[in-house]
Amino acid sequence: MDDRTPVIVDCDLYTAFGPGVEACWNGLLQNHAAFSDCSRFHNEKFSTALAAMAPGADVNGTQEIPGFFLEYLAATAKKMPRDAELFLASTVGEIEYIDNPERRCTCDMLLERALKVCDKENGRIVSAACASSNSAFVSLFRHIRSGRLDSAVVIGTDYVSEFIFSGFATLRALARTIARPYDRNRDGLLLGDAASIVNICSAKKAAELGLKPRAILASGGMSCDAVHITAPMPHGEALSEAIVHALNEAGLTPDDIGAVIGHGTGTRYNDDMELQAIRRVFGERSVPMLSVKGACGHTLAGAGLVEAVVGVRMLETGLIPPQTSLVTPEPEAARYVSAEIRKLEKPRVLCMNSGFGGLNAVIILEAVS
Amino acid sequence: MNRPHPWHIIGGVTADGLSFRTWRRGLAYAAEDTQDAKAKVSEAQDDFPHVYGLDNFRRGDAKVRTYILAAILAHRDAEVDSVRETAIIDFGRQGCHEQNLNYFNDYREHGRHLGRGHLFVGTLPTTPPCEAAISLKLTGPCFYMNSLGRWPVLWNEVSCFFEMPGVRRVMICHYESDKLTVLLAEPGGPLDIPDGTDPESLARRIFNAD
Repeated sequence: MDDRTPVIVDCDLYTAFGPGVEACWNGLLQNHAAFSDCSRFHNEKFSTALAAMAPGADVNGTQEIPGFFLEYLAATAKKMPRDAELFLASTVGEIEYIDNPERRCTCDMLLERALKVCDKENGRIVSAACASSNSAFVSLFRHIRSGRLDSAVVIGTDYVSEFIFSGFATLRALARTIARPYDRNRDGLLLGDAASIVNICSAKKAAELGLKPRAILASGGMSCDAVHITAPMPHGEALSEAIVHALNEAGLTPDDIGAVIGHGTGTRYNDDMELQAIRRVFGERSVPMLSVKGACGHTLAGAGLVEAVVGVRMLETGLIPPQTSLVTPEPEAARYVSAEIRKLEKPRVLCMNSGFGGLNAVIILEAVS
Repeated sequence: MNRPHPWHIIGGVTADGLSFRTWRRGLAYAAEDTQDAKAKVSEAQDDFPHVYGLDNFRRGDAKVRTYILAAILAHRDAEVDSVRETAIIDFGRQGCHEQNLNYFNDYREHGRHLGRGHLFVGTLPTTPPCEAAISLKLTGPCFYMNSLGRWPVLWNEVSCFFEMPGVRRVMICHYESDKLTVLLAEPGGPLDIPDGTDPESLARRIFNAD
């Protein structure tokens, strides 16, 4: 670790398991799926009513959820200096109050509100569909390594709304049963709420601020399939390129990776593509793999942040949670996934996301030695 | 003090509605609609080494069509073929509010049952640059960014892209008030960019266009 090594100094989560990192971590370790019937809107016309909703988040109505989540994250954000850059990972779904012209939120308003609540001077929205969080991490990694930034707060929130739910229903991407990433009988994804935050700074800045590094952001890579606006590249070539970029950047080989947290939505196309990309890079090696979306749903722009926080806990505890709702692994996945808790044998976790537009973003987290 | 950037601009275009102006070669194309624009862009490619197929716009809206046409014209202006290792940064403050309303109003007006998939996909601000990436087979990193108009954030992000492994070119897109500027950048420089410089004014300065 040198002065410009990006280090994670704090993180927090609010998911369907409730507030706090440990609520989610324990839910994952106990193999729980946090889905229930969503009553936020009329759901009888959709193929499923299931979603992973954060308890207590919609006490004042669905449209207040983004504000509620931001308020929750503010406490962690305020641990960083005011001049730390705010990275807001978002699908730019300025969709609350979309039914109410007087209260509609624009892209600028979304960022301005986040800056105010988190008490930060400057910030930026990074949007790359469901790869938004990891894209923000990859960009931030570069800026810290090059010395352009020395501290940042990365946040992402998304919630189960009629807007998003109806859209995924339209695309026939929702599961009819339960989300089963990497399972032979998977039939789609389920959506989830999440608010997540990761505070990152250079190792030098962390020392100046008296903050203890919890994990290292070792590298990142991005790519675009450039094939289809919704369907992933069938054989995962572009995702594997992003993985190789991340490995090369950190001077690592596939043998150095202890586990992979996949995007693992539970749709046939996504999971097949990911498994082929992993096979392409890791060859015959059986690297442990999991998706958190079987437990707390697909949290869209916030997904990468949730996975990064889970990755930090994996590095801190040396444990890999079981694959939630796994019954019969997809044959290609059998060597990677397990319904049991496993030991993390090597101190690095690779996290990957893919989004509409063919966007892929990969990061590697490393334990602090 | 801003650092000089290690890249330079090789060409670009500004589309103001359906009027296109290329920056390096100073060519202008005005179209009546996107089909007419497609015909004019196809015609403009006649003496171009690589002709891009423009069979369809894959159900994209007017914004998507403009991004595809502008991306082709930017390459035409710079007289370069597209290369796979091109990153795309799409910068602006508009997000996808208009597209969100288009999708949701359509969904609501049709009984809140099923929406239309292509309208839903359009609610992502990365859809237009990704459609351009598909048309030109650009496989580098790509995302949308809004920094409330802090231009140095955009220029630093371009430098950031060039530090990433495998990136050979960056396509810079800026969309504001129905006006799209697309610039192509390649390693080189140093390029000093004064505070407050947006993509169109940078192109104007570099190519002495007034």
